[in-house]
Amino acid sequence: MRRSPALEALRFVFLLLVTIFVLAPLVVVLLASITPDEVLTSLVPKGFTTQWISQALDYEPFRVGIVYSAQVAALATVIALLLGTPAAYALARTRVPGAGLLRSVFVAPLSLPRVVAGFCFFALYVSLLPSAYGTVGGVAFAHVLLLLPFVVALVGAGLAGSDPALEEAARDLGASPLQAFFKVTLPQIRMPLLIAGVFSFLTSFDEVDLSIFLMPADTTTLPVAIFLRLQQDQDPTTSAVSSLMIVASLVIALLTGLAVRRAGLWRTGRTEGTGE
Amino acid sequence: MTGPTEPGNTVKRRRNPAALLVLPGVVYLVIAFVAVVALLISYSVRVERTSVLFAPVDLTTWSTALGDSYLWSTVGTTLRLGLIVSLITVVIAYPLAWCVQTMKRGWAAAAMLFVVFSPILVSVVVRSYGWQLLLRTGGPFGDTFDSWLYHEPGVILALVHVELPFAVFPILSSIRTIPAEYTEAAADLGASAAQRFRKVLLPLTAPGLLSALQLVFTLTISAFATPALLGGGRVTVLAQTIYQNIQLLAWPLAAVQAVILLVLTLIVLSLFAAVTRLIGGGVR
Repeated sequence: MRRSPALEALRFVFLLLVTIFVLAPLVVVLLASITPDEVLTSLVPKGFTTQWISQALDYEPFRVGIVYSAQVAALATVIALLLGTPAAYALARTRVPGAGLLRSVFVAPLSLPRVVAGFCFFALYVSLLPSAYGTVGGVAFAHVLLLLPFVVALVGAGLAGSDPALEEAARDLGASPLQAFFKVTLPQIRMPLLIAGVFSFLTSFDEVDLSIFLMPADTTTLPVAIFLRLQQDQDPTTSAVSSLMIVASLVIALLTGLAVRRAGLWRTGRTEGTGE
Repeated sequence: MTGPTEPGNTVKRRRNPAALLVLPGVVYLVIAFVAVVALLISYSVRVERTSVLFAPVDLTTWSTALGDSYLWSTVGTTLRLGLIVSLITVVIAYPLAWCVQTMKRGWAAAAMLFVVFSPILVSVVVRSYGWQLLLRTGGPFGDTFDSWLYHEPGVILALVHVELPFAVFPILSSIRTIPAEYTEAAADLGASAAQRFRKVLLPLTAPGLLSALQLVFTLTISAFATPALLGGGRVTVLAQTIYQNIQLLAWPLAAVQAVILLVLTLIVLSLFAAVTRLIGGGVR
């Protein structure tokens, strides 16, 4: 279809504006973290310093937070993959009674407001399991609720796009069910698993709304530490640690994208976010 | 719900013990959901801060909370922000999705998709902080945005930024399901660009548009960190009051507010489900 030059120009301007809008708050954080000034007053950098970054890494709550967040994210990702992958497999490849209902049960957590989930896990821990409050395990267990829908949807889409006949063939040739799964099916869905794992890790690492209910203010995950510090004041060390998060997230996203692209699965199957 | 091509459907599914693999995940979700319903209700019908599982039922907290005008003004702010943010976000996301979908160069489309979706991977706290830096007095724009930061416009701006990718995604999905022949057929039959859009493309993408609205609305009314940081205490939404009451050790009141937020979410979801069914009936 041909398009008029005026429409093309309009389209270009629109996309440019959206790009600026989307990137502006990220760029300004990056700028604030390398500009020597205490307060960023201009979008043109006036010099360069790494002092804020080293100060941020020396700041106890951020240091503790980085480790805490990484542990929570790793544990939550592992649990979500271990619970979600078998579930997605059962839903895609076997006849599960009530499969339609189960599919909506697995996406239901997406509709649950995170603060409500936060309150409920808080109540669950103080009522039944006081020792879980503020621990890596307790926070990770709650995060699984947010990650499970994505894992089931992404792995499910991967399974839907792979060929079940191959696994059946392996079975016919004498492979045990586990051998057939690990040697034949798993390699077929390695990219959806990678995407689900990376997405889960970053989602858990970045989580605030639910996490903030589950930990005392003195020992928190990194985003909660940033949130609590921002409630008091703004200073360049917050920008610095935020920059580290932005750069790390984008690098991980870019690497994952390239890996997926190399594997020739640029368009993985569509995933629907809502149950009907 | 099922995609157009799902090979799993064509192959005979075996009834086998592997179906039991669904159980661990289901057990986890049942624990979580039972905790949600039982504990929320149990905590909301008590008066004192106590962590016992079953306290005597007392509706005082409910009646005090529902009679409090502050609660209703918070609910009003929450819903107003939800409405404004979801409308603005979808108005940006809809043309954006079309522009991305119809980009000629593959690399440009991939780059644009990366720009649109990568912010999902950056913590909401960091993105809200970025808006604080941009809008604050004495910042890069001087005092241009004085009346934005710590007021509703600032909160709305940051929330639109946070929710934009969630609106683009369902719209893009629905655009991708439209076969190219449909528009070509309409063009062959003499429909103008505007007619093609109004009569063919818009109805076909209406379900995506509705999911986008629904998703952004529900995410916005439950947003916590962004309104807390950009609202600066002047703009208070329901999610913040739940957190504040936990801090103040008013657990029963926090539970009441959590129930209200959950009920609002469920009402919104069922309204959208009803509208989608109504429109879906016309299209299919």
